[in-house]
Amino acid sequence: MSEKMDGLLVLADGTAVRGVGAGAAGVATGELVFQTGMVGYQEALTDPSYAGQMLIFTYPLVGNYGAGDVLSQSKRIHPRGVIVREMMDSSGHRDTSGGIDAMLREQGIPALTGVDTRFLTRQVRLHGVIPAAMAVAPAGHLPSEEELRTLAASLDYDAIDFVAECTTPQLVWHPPSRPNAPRIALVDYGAKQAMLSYMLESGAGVWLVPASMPAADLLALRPDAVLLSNGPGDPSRLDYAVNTVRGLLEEGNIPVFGICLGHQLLALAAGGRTVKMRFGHRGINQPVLETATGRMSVTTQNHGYMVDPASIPPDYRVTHTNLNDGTVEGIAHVSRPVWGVQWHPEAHPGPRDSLSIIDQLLALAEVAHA
Amino acid sequence: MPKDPSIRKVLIIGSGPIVIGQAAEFDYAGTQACIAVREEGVEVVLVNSNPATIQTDPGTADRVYIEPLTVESVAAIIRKERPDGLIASMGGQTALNLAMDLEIDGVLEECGVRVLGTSTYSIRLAEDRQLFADLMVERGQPVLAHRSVSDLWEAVDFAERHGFPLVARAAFCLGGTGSGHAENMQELELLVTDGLKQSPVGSVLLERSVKGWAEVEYEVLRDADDNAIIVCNMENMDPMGIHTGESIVVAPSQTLSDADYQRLRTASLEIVRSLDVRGGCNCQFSLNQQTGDFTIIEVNPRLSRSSALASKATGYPIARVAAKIALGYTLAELRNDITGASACAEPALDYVVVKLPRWPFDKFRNVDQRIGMTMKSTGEVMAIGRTFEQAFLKALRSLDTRSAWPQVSDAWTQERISQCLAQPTHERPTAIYNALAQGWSVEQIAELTHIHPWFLTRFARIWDAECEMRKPGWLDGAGLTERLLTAKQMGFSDAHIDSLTGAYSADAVTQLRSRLNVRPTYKMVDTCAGEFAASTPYFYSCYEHEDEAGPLEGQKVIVLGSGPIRIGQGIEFDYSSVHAVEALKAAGIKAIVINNNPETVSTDYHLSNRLYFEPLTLEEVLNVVEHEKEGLLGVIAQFGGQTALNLIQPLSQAGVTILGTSPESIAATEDRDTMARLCEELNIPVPAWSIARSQDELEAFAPQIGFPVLVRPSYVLGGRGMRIVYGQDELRNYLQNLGSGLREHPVLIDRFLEDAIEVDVDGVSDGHDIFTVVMQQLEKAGIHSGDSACVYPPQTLSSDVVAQVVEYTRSLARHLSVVGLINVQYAVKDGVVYLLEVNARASRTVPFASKATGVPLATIATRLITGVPLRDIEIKPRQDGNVSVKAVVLPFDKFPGLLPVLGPEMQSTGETMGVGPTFETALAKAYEGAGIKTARAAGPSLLEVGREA
Repeated sequence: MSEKMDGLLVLADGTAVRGVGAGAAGVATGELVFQTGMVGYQEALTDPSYAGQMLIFTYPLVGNYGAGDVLSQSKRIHPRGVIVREMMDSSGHRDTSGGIDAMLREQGIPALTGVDTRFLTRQVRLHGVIPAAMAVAPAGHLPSEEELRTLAASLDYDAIDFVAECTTPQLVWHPPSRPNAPRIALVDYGAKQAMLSYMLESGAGVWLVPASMPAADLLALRPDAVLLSNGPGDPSRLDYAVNTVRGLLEEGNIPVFGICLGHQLLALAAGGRTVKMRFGHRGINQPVLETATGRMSVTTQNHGYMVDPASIPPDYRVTHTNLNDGTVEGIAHVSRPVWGVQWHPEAHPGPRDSLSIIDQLLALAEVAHA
Repeated sequence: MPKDPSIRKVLIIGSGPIVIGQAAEFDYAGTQACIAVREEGVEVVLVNSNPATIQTDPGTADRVYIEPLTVESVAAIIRKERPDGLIASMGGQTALNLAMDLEIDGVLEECGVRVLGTSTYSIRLAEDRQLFADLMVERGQPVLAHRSVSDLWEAVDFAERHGFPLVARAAFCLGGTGSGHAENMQELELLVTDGLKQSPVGSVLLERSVKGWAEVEYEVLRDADDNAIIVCNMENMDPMGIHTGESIVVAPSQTLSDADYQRLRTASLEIVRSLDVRGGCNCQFSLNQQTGDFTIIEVNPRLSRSSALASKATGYPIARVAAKIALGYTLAELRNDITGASACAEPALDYVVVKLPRWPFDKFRNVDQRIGMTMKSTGEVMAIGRTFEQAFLKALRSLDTRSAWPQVSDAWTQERISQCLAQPTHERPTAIYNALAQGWSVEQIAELTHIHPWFLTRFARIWDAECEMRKPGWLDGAGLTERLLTAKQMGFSDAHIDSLTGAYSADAVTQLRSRLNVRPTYKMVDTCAGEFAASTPYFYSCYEHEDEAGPLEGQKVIVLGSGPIRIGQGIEFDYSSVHAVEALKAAGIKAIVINNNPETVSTDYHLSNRLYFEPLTLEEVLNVVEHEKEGLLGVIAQFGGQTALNLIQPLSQAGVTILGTSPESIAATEDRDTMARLCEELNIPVPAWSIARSQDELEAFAPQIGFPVLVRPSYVLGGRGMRIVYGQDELRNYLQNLGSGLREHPVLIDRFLEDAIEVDVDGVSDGHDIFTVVMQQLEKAGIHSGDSACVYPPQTLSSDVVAQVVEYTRSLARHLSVVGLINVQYAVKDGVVYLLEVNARASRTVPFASKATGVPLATIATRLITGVPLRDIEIKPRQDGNVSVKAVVLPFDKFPGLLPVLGPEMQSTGETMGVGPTFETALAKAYEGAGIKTARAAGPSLLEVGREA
C-alpha cells in the first residue's frame, strides 16, 4: 500500500482504539473475538467459522512467513476485519508467494495494526464478545467514533445466518481414488479444505452437500457416513439444518459425526440445547479429556456457542470435556454410531493429535460400504 | 493415575559445580522439584556438591547432603537414607550419568530404589546415538546418515562412504564437549581422536552435516499415561553448526508456518512416545527451509538449559510439573497453578522472547573466540518485548557488557565483516549490523550467515530507525511524541536515543519522555495470551496502551538481581538475592525482583511477590521504582554483584532510597584515598600503594612502592586486567595491552606481599555490632580469591591473628556504618595483618560461609537492612568441629588457548564444597566434587549439613 492509512476500531460500548490502517480501505462491522494461535494465521483467516467476526490475533507478529494459496482453508477470508499488533512483510517461505497484507487488501478486508491487542483481548475476556466497527481510510478521512459506535451497536451477530454465505451453493461430487472406497456426505456449513482433503486422501468419495439440503435428498445420495462440518454463527437459529440432522438420525443406522457447529447441530437435533459462551474458545491449544480413558488431546477450536451440559438427551452421553473449564467437548449416542466433538480434528491450523477421530468415521463408512 | 502412594522418600541429585554448559538452570529446576515433591508429603533427600545453590539450603529439602557427586558417596547416602525413589532428571547430564552409574553399581537394586520419571533404559536409548538413530528409523522419523565409531578406522571408513562435511559428537558428553565439524580427513582425525578421549564410553557418533539448516527446539512434557504436550518451541537465529547454548534463540519460532510447526510438533510427540519419556524432554531438529526436509538432531530426556528458558519464556513451570509426573500424576490431573487452567493447556505467548548468550571473552582475550558446536558461553540473558526489535535490544543491554546497543564503527572493514559473517564469533550481531550500515543487502548477509532473512530484516529495521534518529531535528518539532513512542516500541533505550540524536544532556530523552508522558506499560506473562484471568506476579515492560501491573499494595522493597552468569559474578549472587527476597517476605515486606537471567531461582515467578523481567539499567530500574513508588521502602542493591552495585550511585542521585549501607559508604570503600585515611585512623596496616593515571605515572610510581607490585584497573570486577609485576620491564605497554574499556580507568598499584596467607572475612553488620566468618585461602596471596580454595575454620592462623582480623573488620564496619553484608580481604605476613580490600556488599563466599557455619548470612543481612538490630537476632553457628573446604572448577578444557595457570585474574566458573571431621577429608571431598581425583584411603564419611528443625 503506497498511501499511509489510518485505522479506527470502535466497540459497541464506545471504547475506541486508533492505529495504523492496513489491508483494504473501508468500513466493516463484526463481533470482536480473539484467537491465541502463534502460527497458522492464514488458515485461521480462511476458516469460515470466523464469518461475521472481527478477529484479534493475540500473537503480536502476523505475516512472518507470508501468504500462499496452498494454506487457504476456503476461497476467501471470513472475518470482516482483522486486528494485529504488527503486520509483517513476508520474508519468504516455500509455501507462500505474497504477503498477508496484500491478501487482505485484495479481498477487501480492513485491518488495524500498531495497537495494543492484549488490551483488546482483555476487554473481550472481561466483558465477553462485543460488536465492533472498524474503519480504514487515508489519513484524515476516517469516520467519527460516534458513527462507528452506532454502526457497531446496530450489529446483531446472533440474528444473522452466516452459514448461508459459507456453504457450497450446489452439491459437488469428489469421486473416490480407489476401488470399493466408501462415500461420505460432508455437509458443508463452512467446512475447511483440510477436512475435505483428509477424506479424499483416504481414497473415499465425498459429496460436498449444501447446508440447506433436506435429509431425504441427502439420504438419496446413499452415503456410507455423514460428516456435519464446522461453521459460523448461532446453531439455534439454523432450524433447517437441525431438521436435516434430525432426519438423518431418524433414518437409523447411518454413521453421523459432527464437528464444531456440526456437533452443536447434532445436540440440538437430538433434543439438547446450545448456549452462547462469554468469549468462546479460539486457539490451537485447547486440552480435551476423553472421559472414558483419561486420555488428553490438544485441539484446535473456534466456537462461541456450546452444548449445554444440563441438556444432554438421555440416550446420549458426554464423551469429552474441556480440561480448562469443564465444558462439553464431545457427545455420543449410547448405542448408535452417532457422535460429535466440539473441536476441529482436521487441524490446519493446530495440532494433528486427533486425526484418528476422523479415521473412526472413515472406518465405519468402510464397513458400511462393504 | 494419581500420585503413587508407595513413594514416601525421594532422593534428588543436583548438578554439582557451575561449569560451562551446566549453570544455574539446574538450581532452578532442582529447587522447584524439591518444593513440588515436598508439598505432596513426600520426604526429599538432596545431594549436590555445590554450596552456592538454593537447593542445598537447609529449608529446601528435608535432608541435604553437600557431598561429591560420585557413585561412592551417593551410594553411601542411598544406603543410609533408603529412599523409595530417585529423581535424576533435575541435575543435568551430571545427574543422569550418575544415576546410570548407580544402577550399574547395583546399589539401586540392592536398596530397592526406583528411578522415577523417565527410566534409565529410556535415558540410555536417547543418549546412545546409534540406538536412538536406529529407533527413529524404525519409527519412520528422519535421522541423518550416521554411525557410532569406537576407533579411527571406522571413522575413516564412514567418511569414505558418505563424504564430507561430517559432524562428530562424543557420546555422553556435556555442552558439546568433544564435538565439531570435519571438512576433510585431517580434521576428522583430530576430532575423532579427541572425541574418543572425551567420551566416557569411548564412542563418537559421525553424522552427515546439516550446517546452515535452521535449528528448532521443542520442549515436551509427557506422563506415564501417554499424554503429552508441547510447552514451548524455540527457533535458533543462528543456523545448525552453532550449539544452541551459543545461539541467539527466540520463542516462539518466527519463520515456521503452521505446517512446519505441526510436523515438528508431531515428530516431538512421536519421539517422547517411542522413548517412553515420563517428564520433560528437549527435542532438537534441523529444518531445511527451502525444501521443508527436517531431521532429528538430538534429544535430552531431562530438564535442561532450554527447559529453564522455556519455563521463563512461557510462565509454565516445567520442572514442577515434571516432578509431579515423576510421582505418578498424569498431566490431565494437574492444574496450572497460575491460571487455574489445565496443565495440559499448551502455553500461548503474546510477546516475543529473545535469549542471548554471555561469553567470557572479555576475560579470556587470547582464546579462540569463534563460536560453534562447543559451548563457550558461561551464561545467558532473556528479554521480553511486544516486537522482536524491542526484545532484542532489551536483551543486548541486559548482557551488561560495554556495548549496550549495536555499535557502528570503522573498525568493521569489509574483510572483517565477511570473515565474521562466515566464521562466527560472539561479535556476529555487530558484524551484521555494520554490514547493513555499509549497505550490504539482507540477501548477501543471509548467504554468508545462513541466518533467515526474517531476522536480518529486523536488524535492518533497527538500522533504519537509527538512521532516522541521526537526522538533525529528530528531537524537535511536530510528531515528537509519536516518534519517541515508536522508538521505545522498537526497544531503543533513552541513553541510546541520546547518543544517536546528540541530545544535549545524558538524561535529555528521559526528561523529554516524562514531559510528553511516554511511559512504559507492564504486561503479564500469563501462559495463555490473556485468555484466562491469571495471577502471575511476572511482568515485562513495553510501550503499549494498557498497564496491567497496578502497583503492589503495602510496604515493599525492590531487590536488584545480578544479571547473566559470568566469570566473577556467578550463581553466588543469585543465592544471596533469593535469601533477601525470602527474608523480606518473612518480615511481612513485599519483595520485588528485577533481573534478566532466565536460568536462576531469583527469576522463578513463584519466589517473589512480583518479578520484573527487565534489563538492569538505570532507565529500566528507575521506571520500576517510579511505577512502584507507593509504599516503596527502597532498593536493595548489595546482593546483585557488580551489576547492581554499579547502579547504586546513579539511583541515589536520582533520589532513590538505597537500603542498607549508604551509597556514601559504598563510594568510600571504592575510593583508595578515603580508605587509606580510614586505615590510618584505625591503625590497620595496608601494603604500600599508589594510583597511576597514565603509563608514565605507572612506570614512575611502581619502583617507589617497590617490586613486586600488583597492578589493576580500578572499578573492575573479578580481577580483570590484574597482574603481578616483578620488575620495570613487565610494566611496559601494560595500559596499551589492557584494551579499550579497561585502559580508561586509573590503575591501582599495590605492594605485593609474597608468600603471605590470604584471609577472607564475610560479615553481617548493623552499623554497631557485627558477626563474622573468617576463612583462610589455600592458595598463596596473588591468586584471585575467587580461584582459590579456602577453608573454614582457618587451619594455620593463630588465634591472635584471627582475633585481629575480626577486630579490624568490626571497626571498619562500624566506621563505614555498614548495614548488611561486608566482605574484607586481608593478607597475613610475618604475623602482621594487612588490609587488602573492603567490599560493602555480598561476596562470592557468602553461600559457602553460610553453609560452613550454619548461619544464613544473606538472610540476616536482609533483616538488618530492614532495621532489626543484630543483638535481637539469634545466631548459633554450628559447633560440630567439622571443617569445610571450598574448591573451584576451571574452564581450561573449553578454551585450549588458555594457559592453565592461576593468577590474579579470576578464571573459575564454579565451586564445590567438602565437609569433614578433618581438613584432609574435607579437602578430599571438595576436590572430588570438583572432579579432581584424590587418593582417599578411608571410605566416605557422610555429613548431613542441613536438616530442618
